[in-house]
Amino acid sequence: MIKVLICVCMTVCCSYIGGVFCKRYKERRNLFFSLVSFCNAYEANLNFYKKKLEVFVREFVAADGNKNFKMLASKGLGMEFNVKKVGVLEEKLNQTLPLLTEEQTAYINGFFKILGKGDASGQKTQLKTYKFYFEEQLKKATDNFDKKGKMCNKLGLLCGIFLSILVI
Amino acid sequence: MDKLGCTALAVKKIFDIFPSRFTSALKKTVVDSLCEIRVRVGQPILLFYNGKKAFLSNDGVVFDPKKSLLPTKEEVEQIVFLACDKSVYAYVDQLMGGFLPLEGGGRLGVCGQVSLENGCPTAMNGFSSVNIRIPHEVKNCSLPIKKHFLSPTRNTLVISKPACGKTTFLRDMVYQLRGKAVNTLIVDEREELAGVKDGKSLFELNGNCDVLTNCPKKYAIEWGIRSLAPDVIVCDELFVGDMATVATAIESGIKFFASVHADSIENAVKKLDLNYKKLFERYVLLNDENGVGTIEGTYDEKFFRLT
Repeated sequence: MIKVLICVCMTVCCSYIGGVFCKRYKERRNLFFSLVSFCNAYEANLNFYKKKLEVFVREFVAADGNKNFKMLASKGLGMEFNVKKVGVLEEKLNQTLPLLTEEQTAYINGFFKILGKGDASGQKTQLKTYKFYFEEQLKKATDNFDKKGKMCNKLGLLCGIFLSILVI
Repeated sequence: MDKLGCTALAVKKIFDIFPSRFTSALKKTVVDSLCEIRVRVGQPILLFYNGKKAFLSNDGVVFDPKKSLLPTKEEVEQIVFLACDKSVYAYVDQLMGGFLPLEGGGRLGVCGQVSLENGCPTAMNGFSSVNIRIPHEVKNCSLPIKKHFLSPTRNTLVISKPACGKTTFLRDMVYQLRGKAVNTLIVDEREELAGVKDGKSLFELNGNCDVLTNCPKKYAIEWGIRSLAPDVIVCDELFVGDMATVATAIESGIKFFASVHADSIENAVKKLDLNYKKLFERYVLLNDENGVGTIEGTYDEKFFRLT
């Protein structure tokens, strides 16, 4: 009976760890998807609505709902959103398994810095460069999620089953 | 909105856009009486209040320019950026007109380096100074001459030098129309005449007002006549280029309250080329001899003095 319990626990733990790795890939993909959608929406705003940046970002964040995008926008634009506080475990995970590379972080910070600082045509030109970069990253992140993310999920489960067999 | 309302709102906006060292100093002054603040890179910050001139120091108001705070270039640029609500793209046209609207009917005049393309200005950057105008609602300032422009309503031109209270006077002329069910179209090209926020004016107008904000007079008057059927059109700061549109409106049977920058009736007539047509029936000349908005005289269409 104890052996069965241990086996179940091990399988669940390994699947969870696999899930955590998979989630990072998914989050990365979703973040770049949000950034690309933001670029498109911002371009539309520049072309027609010309809403003020803060109003526009708030509306986008509310509609998009991506918490990582919300966090980055809050940091990059100095705006306050109702961002849920990160727990200790998640913070440790962020340190050991960062969502973004240094290069990606630098690009995103640079992107938020240019927002609002220029006329519509200048903003559109700058936006083009960033959008191209984000689309590339989105493609990579989607590929990684399909290949590595899903594999992590499966590996976690398989690892759990394998350990269970060893225990038995 | 009471007298303090629009002023307080404009002052609040100034606190939001000013660097913290200026804000804390400004809080030590008589903020509600402030009319104008001039911020220039490396020069003392000049305050105009209650008809006096003073400077802004860490301790509040001082009269010695040497004790004044000296703004840096970054601070002036930051003021402009924040006045644009961090969205320069949304204010390019206003910037090219040399100003930015401030909440509550205030106005921030900007000065900097203008970029030209084929001889035409395309952008302004490298901001070096700003001039902030704070609105004040002075109820019944036009009451002494009310009988000259009302009953019947007459085409009236308010004439004065800059900063003598033309806009405030014009706004009060609109207020004097209250209770008369006169459809009034306010052409608020610089967002200071009606001070609209969330679709509602921050000033007490006459209860029958339509406000076209941030729209050049040429279009606003034409659209207004066609779709809003106004009895009276009110607009600020006429230039000679606007006169054809104004003439069309007056010939359509619409009454006009307007203002122009000039120091005398002769110069206003010359500036607006009014000689060939007697468009306006009343002329009101303002000056600042006994405080902003002093009525120097009222004149009829033949330029005979009435008061």
